Amino acid sequence: MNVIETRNLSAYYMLDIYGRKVVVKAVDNISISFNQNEIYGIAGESGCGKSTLLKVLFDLVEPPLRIVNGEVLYIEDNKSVSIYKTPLNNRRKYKWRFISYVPQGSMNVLNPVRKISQTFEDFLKPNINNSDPTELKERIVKHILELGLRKEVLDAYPHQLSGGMRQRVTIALATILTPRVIIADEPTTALDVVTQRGVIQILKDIQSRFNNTIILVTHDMGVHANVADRIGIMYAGKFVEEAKTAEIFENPLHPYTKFLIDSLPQFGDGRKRESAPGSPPSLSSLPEGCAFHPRCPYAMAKCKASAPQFIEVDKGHKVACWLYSGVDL
Amino acid sequence: MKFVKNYLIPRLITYFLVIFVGITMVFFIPRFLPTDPVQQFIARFTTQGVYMDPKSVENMISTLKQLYGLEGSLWEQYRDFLVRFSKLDFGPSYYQFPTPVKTLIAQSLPWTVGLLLSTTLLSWVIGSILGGFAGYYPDKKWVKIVDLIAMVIRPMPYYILALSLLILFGFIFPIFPVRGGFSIGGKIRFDLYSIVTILKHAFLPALSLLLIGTFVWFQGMKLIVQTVKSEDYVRYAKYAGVPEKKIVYQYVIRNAMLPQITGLALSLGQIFSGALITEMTFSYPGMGTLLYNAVFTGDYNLLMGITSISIIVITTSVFLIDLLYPLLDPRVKYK
Amino acid sequence: MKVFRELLKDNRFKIAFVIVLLLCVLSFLTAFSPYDPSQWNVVERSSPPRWLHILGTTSMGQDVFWVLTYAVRNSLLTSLIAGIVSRIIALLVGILAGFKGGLIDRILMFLTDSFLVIPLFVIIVLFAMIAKARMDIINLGILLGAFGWAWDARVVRSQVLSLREQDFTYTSILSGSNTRSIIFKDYIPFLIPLVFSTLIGNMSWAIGMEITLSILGVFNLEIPTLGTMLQWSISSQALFLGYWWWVLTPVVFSILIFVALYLMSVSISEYLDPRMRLQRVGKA
Repeated sequence: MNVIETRNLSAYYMLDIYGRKVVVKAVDNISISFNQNEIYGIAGESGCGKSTLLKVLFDLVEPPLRIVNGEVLYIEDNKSVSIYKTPLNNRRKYKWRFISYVPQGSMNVLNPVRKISQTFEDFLKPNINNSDPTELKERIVKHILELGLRKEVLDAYPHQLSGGMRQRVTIALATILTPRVIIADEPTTALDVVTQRGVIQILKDIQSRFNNTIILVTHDMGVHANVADRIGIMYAGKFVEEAKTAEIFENPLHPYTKFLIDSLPQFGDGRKRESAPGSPPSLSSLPEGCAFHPRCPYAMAKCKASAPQFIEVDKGHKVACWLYSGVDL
Repeated sequence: MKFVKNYLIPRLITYFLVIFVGITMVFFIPRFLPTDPVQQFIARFTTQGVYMDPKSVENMISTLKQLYGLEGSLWEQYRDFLVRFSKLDFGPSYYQFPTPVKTLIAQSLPWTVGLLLSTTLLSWVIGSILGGFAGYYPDKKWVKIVDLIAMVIRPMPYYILALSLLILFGFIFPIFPVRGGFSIGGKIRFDLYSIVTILKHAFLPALSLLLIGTFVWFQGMKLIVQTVKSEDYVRYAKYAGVPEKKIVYQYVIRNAMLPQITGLALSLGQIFSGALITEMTFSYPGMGTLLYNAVFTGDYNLLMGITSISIIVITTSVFLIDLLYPLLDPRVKYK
Repeated sequence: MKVFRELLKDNRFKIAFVIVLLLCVLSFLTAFSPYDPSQWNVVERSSPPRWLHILGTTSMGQDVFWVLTYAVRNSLLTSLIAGIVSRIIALLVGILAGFKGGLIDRILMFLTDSFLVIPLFVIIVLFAMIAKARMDIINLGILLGAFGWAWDARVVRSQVLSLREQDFTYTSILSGSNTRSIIFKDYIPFLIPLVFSTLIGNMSWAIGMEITLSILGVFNLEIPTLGTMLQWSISSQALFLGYWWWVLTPVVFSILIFVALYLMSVSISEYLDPRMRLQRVGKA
């Protein structure tokens, strides 16, 4: 069962730098779907468009970003809604209740002059009908305790909490209305390793408690291996591979995925780790054909000429690469 | 009592140290300059063509030295100066001899403080509110107009603006009185007439201070709000659909106020100087006019007194703002 | 040069640049002045603007236009000296405090804060009144420079503090570079833009001070500056006598200078602040 789908979705940044028009193709013709009750990991180097994809999924499109083509579908109770075709005042009700957002761990996301409890009230009040103060308070306390946080954090100011604690509070803030979909953008970046574990654990707990969907973006393949049920690999604004976590790690197909996985350290393996040669292309001037071909050791003439389709080559295993199109595995 | 120990006491010490540094500057500047006030005073007479025999010149020098506290070694003078300063005793004024400087300042200070306190607070509040909205909605038409006006008025020195107002309302449209703080020879009583007269006389000086002040705070606040607006906590609250009104007041303005308050504290010294010039221009009976007279008549004691009192008044105001600050910013409470 | 061309794309900078150019031309015209500005009664008195005297004459028999050229030159010179002197002090204090830290930082910052809080204007007046006889444009520039550095020293210090946290400083220290070479090679290039943008603000403050001190009568009235010009016209009752050209000329030209310097500083600081630049690009 899907909860979110995109269809031929393209979103570009339209920039005008001193009279020169620049188009940054951050999300380029993506069709992908996210299931109910799963943790979906999106991986890729920085600048591959993963954060932009999240923005588009969450309906946060502001100039210079623009939806150029395609649609995003929110599916709830077997009804699907194309969010960008819905009038603005009707979109509001999906935020936080249907889909919510956990920002980067390093960000300064809590208002420094407001107590945590006040921030909770600010976020909760506009999203529910009933605004009886004591009920509101009870609901917040209950939620905080459910996530294993102490009641006292509500009386604190953000600066009195540690970085990890702040991130847990942010997660609690994002999940207060038990949304069906939680988008997490690098939630563990800039946290130390021990704190990272705690934050990952809390996300996992939430998912198993509420049976909802978490779309987790991080460049850390280790985190993906630990929590994700399925993984999608992005490169230059497109998905290049998608499969169950175990499948991706055991049998990566796309050359880029192979590089990503080979670069991970492994026990008992003393070989030098290889990363993909070169650096990701600028999204404003992509190479012709498959965007990966300049860095690909298997590049063929075909790769320079046209871009491969994103097709299913095995059950639940999709890849966009000329090496596998039309070939039986 | 963490507050007293970690916040109040260090600030109290700084407060007294700043006054001490300022007073020390006031003491040493005249003494390290190549021309000393006594010589200058004598020179005034000789240039005016007054003949004095050497004996009376010598007498005069010693009298003046005594009057100005220039007798004895530098250390003795300094000690003496500090003792007199602690009693706010600056000796007699020359310009209105033998009225003590203290009395003259006591007469002028309320006028200046009254004018300054009201205009500073008013312009700070108006400027911050306008600037707050302008920073939040930078594409509105009125914002662009106010921006343009601010761009012209803001960089003007107080004197030029005050002079322009004087020309405009004193000569071209003579609506408001351009001189003094009250009708000449009038007696101030607690009645409506007195209050109206005071307000009428204060109007032009106040307007000039308000105009510049408001635009300074307007621009400051606008810039801060534009920065705060792109802070993560504001964006995140927007994502969650927190109502705009709440975001504007509790997230943007509330945080933007903090640097604005620090700015107020730091700019008080400048504003005070501005007010002095405004007073001179409109002959308002405050410290500015007193300063002008002191300079004009070469009244050294009076000048020292005005300088010292200004230092005390300003540092005290800054200190008070500093003490109020932790009420607004939870982060500094126990630092 | 590239920076300059980029800046010229900003209309505010363009306007400011044209005004400054005009003022510089005026200053250089002093070399061709037919009259000595310190002499009185060289032309007829109190004449309104006409062809021979395009900005009229004063009641002391001076040509307003030619006095103006000297006034603009002297006022700009004073403010430039003040700006350079205060830049040197601000750089020294800011770098020393930011780089050394500890007790030196605490003492220097206390001094800086004192200079920020104390009403310097009255102290400058005290200073200028006593030293009035020796006041010329150079001494006035130095005096204003000696008092106008505090805010910028703070700015420099915070910049140095953030530079000190950066990796290249650690690399330099670990690879054995001495303090002086770190400061000169690594920091000065980052501080130069800051020096320029604060210089303009400081110059505008210095011109304002010069005018104020002249009006107050604590500056040498023999030297033509925008302030003394204004002071002469006011004290000669030009306002009451209707000699508008005499009053308006210094007023208009001081406003021109202030607006130009202000526009320039806004434009430059926006150019230097990457965040503001990005906003501009995003909006376009």
